[in-house]
Amino acid sequence: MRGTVLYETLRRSWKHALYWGLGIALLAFYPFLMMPNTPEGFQQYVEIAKGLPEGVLEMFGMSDIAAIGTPVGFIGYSFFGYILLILAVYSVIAGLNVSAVDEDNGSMDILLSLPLPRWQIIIEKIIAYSVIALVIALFAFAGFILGAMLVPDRIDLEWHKYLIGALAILPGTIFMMIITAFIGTLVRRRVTAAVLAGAFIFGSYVLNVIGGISNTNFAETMKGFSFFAYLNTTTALEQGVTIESALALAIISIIFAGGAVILFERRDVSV
Amino acid sequence: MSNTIIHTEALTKTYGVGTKKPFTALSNLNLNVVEGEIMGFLGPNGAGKTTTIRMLLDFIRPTSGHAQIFGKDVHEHSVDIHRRIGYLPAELNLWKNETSINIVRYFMRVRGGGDMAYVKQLAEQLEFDLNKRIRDYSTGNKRKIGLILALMHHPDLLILDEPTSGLDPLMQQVFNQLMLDFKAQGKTVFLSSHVLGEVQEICDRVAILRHGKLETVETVKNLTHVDFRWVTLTYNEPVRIADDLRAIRGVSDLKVTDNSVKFRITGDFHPLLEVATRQYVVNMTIQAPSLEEIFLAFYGENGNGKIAHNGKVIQSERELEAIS
Ligand SMILES: Nc1ncnc2c1ncn2[C@@H]1O[C@H](COP(=O)(O)OP(=O)(O)OP(=O)(O)O)[C@@H](O)[C@H]1O
Ligand SMILES: [Mg+2]
Repeated sequence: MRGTVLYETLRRSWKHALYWGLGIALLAFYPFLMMPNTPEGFQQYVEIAKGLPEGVLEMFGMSDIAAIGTPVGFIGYSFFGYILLILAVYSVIAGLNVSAVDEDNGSMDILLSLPLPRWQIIIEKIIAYSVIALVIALFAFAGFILGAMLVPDRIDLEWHKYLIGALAILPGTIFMMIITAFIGTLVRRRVTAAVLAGAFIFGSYVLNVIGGISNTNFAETMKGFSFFAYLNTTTALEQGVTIESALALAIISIIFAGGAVILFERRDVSV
Repeated sequence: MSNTIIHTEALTKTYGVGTKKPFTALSNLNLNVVEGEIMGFLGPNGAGKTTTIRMLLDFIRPTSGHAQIFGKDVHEHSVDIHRRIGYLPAELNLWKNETSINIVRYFMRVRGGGDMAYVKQLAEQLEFDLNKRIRDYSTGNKRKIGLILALMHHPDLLILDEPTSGLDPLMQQVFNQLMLDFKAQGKTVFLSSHVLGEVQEICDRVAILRHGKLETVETVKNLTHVDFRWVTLTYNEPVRIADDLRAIRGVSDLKVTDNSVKFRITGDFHPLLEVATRQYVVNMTIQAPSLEEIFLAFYGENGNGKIAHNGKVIQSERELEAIS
């Protein structure tokens, strides 16, 4: 039956989804608590940032120091700067669950003995974990809104900007999950898949940081190869992500999801 | 003419194709399982039983040859076929944090409906608690949930990989009854085992596999009708005529202990009786070979057992002479 794997995956993971959502909501809420209430306060943060080496700034996505002195930039840096690295943990765990975990512990056999085409298992699980990623993003949105209610006098954004901002974490999260799922169908073993996916994600992050520090064309090109670059930390809260970059990431994700299905359909399932 | 439920043609599986050490686990298997029978698929460890079963279920793909179930190709029509199959893997691995009842419900949803009353009935028959988490079951109980999952949707064909391993004698009886009830509905069972004794009671036919090759397919009746017997003679004094007995056509494996002598005999008894009475006989017992012995004989002690066509097992040249 269509949708049963999707439903079952959601049924089994709603608790985890809740924990992740609450955690991310807290991280979205926290910067509002920390936000200075005077221009001088903001200036202090700018001064601190100026004192940091460029590499460190890039690691937190601070390519535009002046922006940290504005409320939107401040929240951007203290949330979007690192949130994808945290969500990478969710993405890798979810991506492994698509096929590698079941194949590794042997439950794939009994699952495949049911009247389920292999593609349905892969696709419905990918959809399920994308839905959960959406739920997590909505929790982040709730965190923003609660935070904004805390300091109404210091920041003035329409609510839908927060929504757009929260949704900006989705393309990266889903992309990382699908890449992991793809690697999982390729290598079959969960530990190997986790290590490879982790290396890919961390490698992309480093590429993005180096690309930001150095001003050579080569470095800029390298940055283009990193999926982290889709998220502009400074502007994410107000503007979300550009249609082009979201679309590009979506297309690459779909290609890899298709690749995962094809790989898994064709090969022997290990015991 | 009965319907063929499982049909394989030159089914072959080589693992590690393209690597330095390719290994052919199954070669050229031609097998037919017909509707309404329970067929045992026997062979020692590593014979290729699980390999065959996993190909039938389309988990792994044949290197050459093909297989059909219900007259349909197992790969092309796997979803249709799986609707009508109950499968028990050799090693049942389920999601450890889920309860049995949740897994039952999941499988029902996937199959688009189910018969909860029947599940409850099975659980009762097997004395099984559906409400525990998988991680909390003993090995035997895990077999039971496996059986429930295989039977719950009233399939037409059961494919069971070593269903009897790990069952205590009582559960073995319950299992046998389940299988016979299943067969009584005109349905088919294909089950593997490496212990013939565990399945001899329920199987109509057995296929014997060895080193990836099908050695024989035989009815259990014929297999048990092998014409050799174990004879034990007890005399009133130490055995003196051992050499005379050994010289009889068809006698082998002779062993003397004090006043008695035990040996195998193939063929007629008359030559034996003439010699046996040269000493005073206190007692004589004749034993049909156990299925284990037949099984062993098929493989041979050192893997050099020879097999005649009509189910007769021949181990020595002398036996061959005796029956030919
Ligand atoms: N994925 C694999 N790669 C390489 N060799 C394999 C693989 N799976 C099985 N084999 C080998 O193929 C042979 C047959 O294995 P199979 O599991 O089919 O035997 P079996 O008859 O089920 O044995 P058992 O009674 O122990 O379950 C064995 O020698 C095994 O080592
Ligand atoms: Mg096996």
